[in-house]
Amino acid sequence: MDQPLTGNKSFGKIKAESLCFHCGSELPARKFSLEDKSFCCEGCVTVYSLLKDKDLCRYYDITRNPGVEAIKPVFKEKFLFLDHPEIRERLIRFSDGKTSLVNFVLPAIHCSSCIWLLEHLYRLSPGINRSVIQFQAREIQIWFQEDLISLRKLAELLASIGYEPAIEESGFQKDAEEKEDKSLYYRLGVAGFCFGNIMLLSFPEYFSLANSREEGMSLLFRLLNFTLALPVLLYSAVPFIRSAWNSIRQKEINLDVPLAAGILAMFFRSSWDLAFDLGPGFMDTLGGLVFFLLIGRWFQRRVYSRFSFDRDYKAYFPLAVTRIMEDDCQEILPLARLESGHRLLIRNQELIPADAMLLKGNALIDYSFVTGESMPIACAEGEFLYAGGRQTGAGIEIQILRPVSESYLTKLWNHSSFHKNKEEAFATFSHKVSHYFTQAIAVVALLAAAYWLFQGLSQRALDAFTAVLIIACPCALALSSPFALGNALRIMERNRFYVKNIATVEALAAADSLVLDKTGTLTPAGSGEVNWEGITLKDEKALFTALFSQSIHPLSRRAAAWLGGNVSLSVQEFQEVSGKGICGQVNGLNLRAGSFSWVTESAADAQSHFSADTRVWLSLEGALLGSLKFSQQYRPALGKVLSELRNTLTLAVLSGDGQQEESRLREYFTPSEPLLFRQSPEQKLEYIKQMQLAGHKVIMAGDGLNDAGALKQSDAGIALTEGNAGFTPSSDAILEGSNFHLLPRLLAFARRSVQVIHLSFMISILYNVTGLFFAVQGTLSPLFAAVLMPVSSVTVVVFTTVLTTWMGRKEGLL
Amino acid sequence: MSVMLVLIFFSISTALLFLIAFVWAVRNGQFEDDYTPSVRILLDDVASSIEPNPKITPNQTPSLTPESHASGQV
Repeated sequence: MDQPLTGNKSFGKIKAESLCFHCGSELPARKFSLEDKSFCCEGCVTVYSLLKDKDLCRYYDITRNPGVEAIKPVFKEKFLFLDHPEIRERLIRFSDGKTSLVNFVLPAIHCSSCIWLLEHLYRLSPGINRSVIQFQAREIQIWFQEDLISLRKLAELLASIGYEPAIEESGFQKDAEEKEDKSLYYRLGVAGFCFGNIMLLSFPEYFSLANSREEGMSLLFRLLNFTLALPVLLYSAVPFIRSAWNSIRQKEINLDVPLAAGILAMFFRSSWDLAFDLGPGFMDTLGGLVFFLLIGRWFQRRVYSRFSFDRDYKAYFPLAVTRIMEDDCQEILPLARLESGHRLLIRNQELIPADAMLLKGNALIDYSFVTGESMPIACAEGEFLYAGGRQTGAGIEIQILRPVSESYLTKLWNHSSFHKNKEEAFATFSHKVSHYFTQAIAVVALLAAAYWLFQGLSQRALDAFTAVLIIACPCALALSSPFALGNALRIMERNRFYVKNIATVEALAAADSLVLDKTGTLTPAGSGEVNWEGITLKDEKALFTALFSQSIHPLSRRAAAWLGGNVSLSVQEFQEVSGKGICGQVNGLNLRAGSFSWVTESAADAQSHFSADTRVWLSLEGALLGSLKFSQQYRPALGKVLSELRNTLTLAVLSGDGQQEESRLREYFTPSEPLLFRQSPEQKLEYIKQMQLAGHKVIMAGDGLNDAGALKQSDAGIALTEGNAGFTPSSDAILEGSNFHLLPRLLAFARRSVQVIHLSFMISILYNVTGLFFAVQGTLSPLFAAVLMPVSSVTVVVFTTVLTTWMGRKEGLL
Repeated sequence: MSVMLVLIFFSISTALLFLIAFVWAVRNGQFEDDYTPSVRILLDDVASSIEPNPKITPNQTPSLTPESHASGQV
């Protein structure tokens, strides 16, 4: 994997002095200074002083501005659940009573400085013995002493320096995969060992060096060859034979069937030849075949360890919640034990784990994980809260109404489309071909055998029959798709487009429709334009900056950033009423900001000032100044991207939001393209399903959990992600939002890669036909087979790799 | 021709040694992460007043014992 050492921060022409010393983001007007260094926020200053204190400043020498951007202050109780014995038990991988080992995924790891700092964790706490980073997996292994630092303290320590661990349910189930992982290497090693030795021992026979004088020697060579071929058949070739057997039992033929037939034919024909002294056998071809096939498998298996493609809602939900008991005591409850009727405490920034009713507190729920919409919604007591919402503001008390798995959002995962395996449903090219290929080979083999039997030559009939199976063994064909698409995957990865497996590349190439989500897909998540409508602001800017800085409401944050006054004035009598607005005194002047009725202090008819967009009104000493209009911003060059996509695909938009953006969105789309609003997760899924029933192959692009169903149902689901965090619903491919404009070229490249496979298939067929010419006559020599097999495989591998690389260049992806 | 026997014996044993070395390397996890070590070796440690904590743990991933590692089911 090509990993950029410096992370993805572009320094461009911006001078280093205008960047935060810690994280490298541009300095705001109100910068923080410590010693001679400038920082963008308090979080960065805190981390810097901590590292300086512990003599860890080399962190800043290895990479420039290595820190993690926008350190979210982790609320105090965030890792409280790690104190729960049941959860601790599951996370600790090993413990001898004194030293414990734990693995954390740290999505923020991005450069060599990160590796250095995190492997020097022991300097930050005496309880930590050792820590080891696995960069590509974004994983840290920590050996620590639990009597000196608890698991919770450890997680908090990591979060405090900007590397917040992502602790999720799916992380517990990795061990089984790792075992499977290694067996491929063992098989490859054994096959390579046997292949090399058999080949050496076969040379004397091929070049007729073993003459009658050395009868004993030739016998020894044959015996050794047979012995060395046994592990190849009984160990290395097992995955192919097993897969062929499974596919025969399911009455469908995959490419492993002719492969397994070839392998078995080679082994038994060779054993027969050796036993009756009829020839040297095909043992080295067998070893080579299995060795090359395993290399193909190894190449095919791209594991993007830092992304998990198959996350379900559990990945987003907390492992445990805080339950309020009858007697108002609090206890930590693992999520699996949550039942309807339980009362829960949801703190600032915590997720609502199941559909619930608000009992107490000011709920300001951010549903951005669910819908992609970043404006929080205010809820009144007694109101219904959906699972997946995040509370912003002070803690609230809720009562669970439905179990986790029955909630509005999570119910989606009970849908049948989550239970089918997409890989099996999608017929890849080699899958389709192998069906006919196998039948053709069987017919040719039987015809050849029948012909020689008819001629009365039974030995020759047997020779011809086995020779056809051996020579037709579609080794080159089996290698063409792993190498062509494996290389395509690598090229796509360089453009920050991560595709789950090679079958997905074919699905992307085969698609004729593209369905897009709006928020987070057509618009970058969490950004937008702010427009001021009203009198020209001068001194008021500073006043309102001070007022807005008091509130943590996202709109207040954006308003403060837009106003950008850098004078810090103090605010008296600050008051915030959720769902309405804020007010306070600055310099003795009364300031109000919020909804129209709040600002004018009248029960006035909000209707007359009702507008479809999001606005914040401002007033000074009772006089209305105007309003800030927040609108969504579309991705740059969206029009051009869409028109390029339109060349090959039919487009549609499914949005969970209301209709207010329709007119602006329509500018980018032709009148015939459907734009649907207020779509529930199920409706999105159903829409894709209907398109598929109408015979379309559909790509879905989305980012929210509410797209998860549609992503799963579609033939290829692309999840968009912003930045390093990689917060994506389950999908087949992950595209970084900043590279959305490359989508047309990436899809064109996928189509070209599939064409390369078609071409390489022609080449391997040519080799097969040549071989068959000798095979049907029963005159196939082992030497000929031993040369033809590797030559055809190497041709195909080189051809596909060179051609896909060239295609990538042509599309401007390299 | 008995020299051939000796040569064959040695060639196969040598190859076998390499196979064993390979299996050992895989078991030891050398094929799991092929990036981090390449960076780590370039990051020489600076002399520091703070001494590292005593390193108790062995240099390998400890084998997971059944009682210490629960099945991981929810």
